[in-house]
Amino acid sequence: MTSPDADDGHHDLRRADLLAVDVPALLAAGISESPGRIRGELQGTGQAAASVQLAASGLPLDMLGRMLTMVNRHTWQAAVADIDVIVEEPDKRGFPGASDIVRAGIAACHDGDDYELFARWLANVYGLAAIGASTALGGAG
Amino acid sequence: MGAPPGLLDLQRLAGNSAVVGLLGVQRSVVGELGTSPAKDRLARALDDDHEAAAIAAFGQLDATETDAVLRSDRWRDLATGSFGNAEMHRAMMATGQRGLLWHKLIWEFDEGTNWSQLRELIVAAPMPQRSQVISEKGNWFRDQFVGEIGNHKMGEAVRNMGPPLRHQLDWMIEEGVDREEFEWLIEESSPAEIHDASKDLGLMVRLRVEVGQDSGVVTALESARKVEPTGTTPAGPRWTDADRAMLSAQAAKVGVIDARMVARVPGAVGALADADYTALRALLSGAGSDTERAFILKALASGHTLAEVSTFAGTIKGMTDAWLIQNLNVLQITSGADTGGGSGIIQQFGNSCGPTSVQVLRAEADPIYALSLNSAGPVGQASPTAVTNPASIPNTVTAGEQGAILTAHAAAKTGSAPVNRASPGGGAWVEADMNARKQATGVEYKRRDIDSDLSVDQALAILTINVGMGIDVPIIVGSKAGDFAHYVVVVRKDGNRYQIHDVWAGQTVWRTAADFRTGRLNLPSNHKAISALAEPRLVT
Repeated sequence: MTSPDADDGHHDLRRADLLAVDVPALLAAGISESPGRIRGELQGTGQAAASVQLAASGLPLDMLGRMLTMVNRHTWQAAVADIDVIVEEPDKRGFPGASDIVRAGIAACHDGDDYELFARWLANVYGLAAIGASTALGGAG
Repeated sequence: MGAPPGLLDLQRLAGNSAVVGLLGVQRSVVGELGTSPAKDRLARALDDDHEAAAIAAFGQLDATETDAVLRSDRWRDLATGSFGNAEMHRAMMATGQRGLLWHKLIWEFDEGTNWSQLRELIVAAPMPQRSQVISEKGNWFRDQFVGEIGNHKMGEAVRNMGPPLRHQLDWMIEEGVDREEFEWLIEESSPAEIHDASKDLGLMVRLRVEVGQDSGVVTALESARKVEPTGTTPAGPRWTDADRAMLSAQAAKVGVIDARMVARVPGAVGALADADYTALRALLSGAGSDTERAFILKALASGHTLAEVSTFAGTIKGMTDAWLIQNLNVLQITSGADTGGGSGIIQQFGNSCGPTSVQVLRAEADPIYALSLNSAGPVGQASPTAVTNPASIPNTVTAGEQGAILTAHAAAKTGSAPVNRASPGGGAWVEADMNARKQATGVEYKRRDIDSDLSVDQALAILTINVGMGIDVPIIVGSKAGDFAHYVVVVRKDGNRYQIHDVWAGQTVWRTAADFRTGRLNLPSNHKAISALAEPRLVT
């Protein structure tokens, strides 16, 4: 039986594809496709790409966790006003990719419902990154 | 117009010379006291026993004249000779904001008065004048009030009179008012007043005798002596005036360091080995702001090693105040500078309100712990099926600790194992878990039930004293006393409002003392009444 971690070439291809995805552009294209429903492209490719890219940038998982917590602490309008604080840590610690993703996500929200969907999307990104960190799949490189 | 009856009697008994003599004296009183047109009108009206005119004349005196008249024994003698009880009160009220309450009370007591009149006079006076009266050192006013008004009115009198609390309590003890009067007064008092009163050891002894050993209020007051609400700390070899000023300023900000933790800092700094102290000084001088420094010192005071504090200082270095406050707290910090609007920490299971409250207590004292929870994902979100679908848990660190507390209780048969939020029920009494974290919090807790152990008024007084020091107080709420359904935590007080963090919804809401008393808390978790509290006791 082949280990799921085994490198069969297919994994590398998918990873390279995900690293090439412009996640901020995906977010800028819109959060929801219908009320309460996140766009399919964001949900699938977007989440996976964001997770892989953030891990590849070396973003510590706890820093992502803190940013996620702050996104959840804010309402939509408060987040718009407070965006610099939400992304302050990755900005100051040299992880502009994480900052760009969150800035793009918040800017793409049209209302509180969008913002809730974005927060859920980011939580899923965090969840994937956590799984990646625990199985060493999401390491840098 | 004939002579007044009094003069005729005098003439009959003592002859014309006596009448002439008296009129001469009266003329001299008018001549002597009537040094201005307004005073002259007043003197003549009093001398002629024209009460209505005299009362009107009191109202026509300017501020200087009013003050001069009220200070004069001769004027007072003239007035008491002319006025009855009611007229004297009307005359004092006619002076409005002119003259001192101090003198007006003397005039009224001299003539004879009652509570209704006294109350009207007191509430019409500016607060500084009331404070001057209740602070009188010779106890003349206190003794007059004790002699004039009864048990129930004294509580109202001192609340109308206002602070200082230590004098309010002194008057109430002297009168022997009912216990709830003390509780109402303390519930309405500021942390600074409570701290000031708590430093009067003689007063505390008398209060304990008056309200009883079991009150809990006196115990809380005695704790309040140990915590300076302004965040002022004593100077020491390792604790400079600049340190004191810096931390005191930070204590005035919401969400950084409260008075209780400030009070622990000098001791923690003093206990460091020399090398650690040197390293701490390096951390403080390298910090980017005083807010960072305050959090570093708070982390030290909560029992962390210097190595842990150093790592923490590196993580927070250079971050803005807004970032620090949001990441080093697990609650919504609501103040004028608040930037958050979403939810704070939330229970991850259907029965983990107690464990979540335990987490709130520790996180409020320990910024390293708060950061660790916030670093593991959103503390304000929860899965409805955390037990049956653990992969859905949004913050495994937060949920893991809550679940471990419940699992330990279930094993010890002191509570129930975690259940899904979708089917809430059960739980555990968690005061032992709170106490297991006393190194961080500096506080031990003991459960006390409403009705059987204490009244709602006592509970409010205990909340006021402790929250005023920055000590969070978990309370248990339900539909009524005896219904122990849900833990929430009282975290702040502002005026007569208490801020409560409801761990079911992760929301922090304000409720009034009246909401507590009437069982109308209407919390986000739908509970309405306080049924118990975890009474705090400072241990360090």
